[in-house]
Amino acid sequence: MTDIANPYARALRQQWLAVLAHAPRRLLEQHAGALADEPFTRLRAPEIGLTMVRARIGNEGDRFNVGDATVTRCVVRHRGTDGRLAAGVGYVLGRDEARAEWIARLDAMLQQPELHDALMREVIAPLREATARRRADEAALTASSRVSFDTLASETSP
Amino acid sequence: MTDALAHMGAGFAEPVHGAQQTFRLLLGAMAEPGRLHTLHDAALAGLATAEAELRPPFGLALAATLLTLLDADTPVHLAGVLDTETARAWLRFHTGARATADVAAMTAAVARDVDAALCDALAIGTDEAPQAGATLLLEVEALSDSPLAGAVALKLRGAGIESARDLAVRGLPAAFWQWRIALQSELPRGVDIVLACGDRLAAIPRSTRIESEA
Repeated sequence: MTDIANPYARALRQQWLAVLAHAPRRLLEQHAGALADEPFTRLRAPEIGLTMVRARIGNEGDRFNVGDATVTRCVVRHRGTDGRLAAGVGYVLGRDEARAEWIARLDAMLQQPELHDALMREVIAPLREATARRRADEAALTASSRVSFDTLASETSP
Repeated sequence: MTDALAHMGAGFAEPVHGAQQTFRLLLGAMAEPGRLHTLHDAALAGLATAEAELRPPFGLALAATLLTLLDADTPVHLAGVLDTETARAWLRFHTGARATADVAAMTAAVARDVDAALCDALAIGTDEAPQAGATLLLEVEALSDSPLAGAVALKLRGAGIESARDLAVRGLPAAFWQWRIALQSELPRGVDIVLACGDRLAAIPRSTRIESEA
């Protein structure tokens, strides 16, 4: 699971990290709170910093600096029941130390083979659904005020 | 890489508190050259982890000093046996400092075994900018304020010492001390030295005059 040379394992980890990073805070707290008794040690205590956000317009042309964004990051280490060590990282936009640590903890445990499947089923799947639901709600809300400027074909045109 | 992170050596448990206490310690060590100082509990909290394989790749006092003094803007040179992939990764992760192979471009050198080449390459600053002199952080075999078998006995004099202070250091070649003594005439140019051994350290700033007795 921690083999970055394996593109499949790497893509999988990117996916669950993306789900965790976008998950609603309340749900994340619920799931991570249930793991409070697990053997974690902090490798890098939660810290807040700035990162430069860069972008390209329409995914074309040169990159330019959009601006600074606050980011909170954290790295924790988890020791599995068989003594296997896994390091989890958490990066979140904004200043939320607890959230970064929850994500790091879940990421570490997701890398433990004996815990992986259960966590994917019980944590990642519901969080993914919740995020999808929230996005759909937002899209629906925006769609209700959408104005379409349809051009009527002129009668003279062929 | 993730696997390397899983086995990464520990840093301070409380980075701010650990670094502040160690900085205070280094300040005291520089102010009283040759006096032995023991790391504060706040610094030991994370570094001296019970799991031996997760200890930092340096001795405790040296590791605490590195965590305190280095950041992304400090070019550091790892010399000799301390220059390992693990040590580089640890420095990069905890301090952001990148180890450089270029001795002339760095501000801090970390070494266990010093040779003449390293000594000669160290920057000693200029009369206009003596602060450009390098800081040499050394891990030694043994450090004591009383005579020690097989150790070089140093008698230190100068600022911060009332008359003279004894320091016994084991693990550094006699040629190193001769080089350091020869450098004394260059003041204010020179190199500041921190000697670390286990959880203890002592400093020999450039203003200290050494009389070697061994």
